[in-house]
Amino acid sequence: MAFFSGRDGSLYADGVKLARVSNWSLSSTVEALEVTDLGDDSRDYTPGLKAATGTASIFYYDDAPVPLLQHVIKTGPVTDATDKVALSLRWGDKKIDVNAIMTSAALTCQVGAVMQADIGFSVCGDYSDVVL
Amino acid sequence: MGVFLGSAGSFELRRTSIGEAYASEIQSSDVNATTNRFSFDFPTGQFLTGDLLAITATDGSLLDFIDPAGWAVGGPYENGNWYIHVDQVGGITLHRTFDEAISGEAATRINLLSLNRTIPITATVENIDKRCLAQVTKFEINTERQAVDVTELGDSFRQQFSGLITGSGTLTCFFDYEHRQCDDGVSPDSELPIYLNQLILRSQIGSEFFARLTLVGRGLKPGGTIADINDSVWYDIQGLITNVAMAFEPTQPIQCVVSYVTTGEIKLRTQSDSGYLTLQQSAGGRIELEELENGFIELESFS
Repeated sequence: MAFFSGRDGSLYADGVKLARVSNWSLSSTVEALEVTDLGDDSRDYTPGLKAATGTASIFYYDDAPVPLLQHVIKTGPVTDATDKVALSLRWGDKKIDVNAIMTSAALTCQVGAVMQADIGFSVCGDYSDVVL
Repeated sequence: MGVFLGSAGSFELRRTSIGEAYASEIQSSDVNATTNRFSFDFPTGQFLTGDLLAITATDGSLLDFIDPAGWAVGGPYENGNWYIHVDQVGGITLHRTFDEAISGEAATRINLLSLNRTIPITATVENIDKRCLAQVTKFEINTERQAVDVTELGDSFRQQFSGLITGSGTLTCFFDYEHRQCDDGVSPDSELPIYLNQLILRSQIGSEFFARLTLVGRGLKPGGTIADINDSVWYDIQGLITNVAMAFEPTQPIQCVVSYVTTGEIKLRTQSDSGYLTLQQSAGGRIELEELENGFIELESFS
């Protein structure tokens, strides 16, 4: 038995561990499709589609956030073939592997703060692997 | 090793408006040549008695309502600066020295002449002299370095990165508002505590000031030798008054507690040599004084 904290966390992109990650988060949802009939006393649902989105913040130290940024902030079109990234969100011996497209990249350069990149992503298809 | 006491400290102020020029105009009816008093439209508290006010005619014309004798050299010109006394209804009289401006006596007023036109002007506070603030009982200065958290996933210990430096402090002094004859505690060239009450209310050109906070002044040092007599340590700061608090209580003297923050660089200076100046050139040795007209220190002989 053990607690997990940021000390146990890491983020991989296309099999390479990203440096200088200060946080990641993943939010998973399952649609609830209503199947309540006339005469029912309570609402009833059936599961619909799964979806997941997430965020990650990476300090802009050397090129640490570039592997993710380059799929959003780029010249030319964003394509399925070149810009879908295999992300692995890990903590301890647990992990969630997904294929995702980067949906946002926010760069902030601010007085009194270290520059960092805030990345948003949406999961494409099913999870590749889940170890909880 | 010595233990230093706060008694060696001092708080010197230099007035400023940080180059903020206030634009207005002087009309013929604004000048009273009989009482040597004039005015122009400015918010109450904008300019304070004792300010060295630089007045510039923005249309390039001459400030010829000021008597030629009131100029340092020649005159009139399109700009000049004088110490001002501001009365309770916003009337301004010009004076040659800070002490005269604080007193505001009719005898020391610079003569004014009638004006028959309107002169657009800008006015800035441009003092160059530092003056000890009177009645100070305590001051503090805090310098704080911001630490930016750059801890990453996987780290076991927090990592910090050096951020910006912030300075702030407080100053406590007994309240006083005028110089008096035979006054032991307040010399004629001291800034009075009421200036800080006035400064925070200066709405248009801000409440900035320059200050020198002496931590160790000249004189014999505890545990030191005669060679240390000129040693001194001080902070040079540009500050901004953020709060002036006063409490009125029977049996207690009225004190002003002034809070300030620094703006810009905080300079910690030390001087551990003698107070001699070294001249590189060997002829015509003299040092010009900024404060006095044609003021020089002549060197008799040197090598």
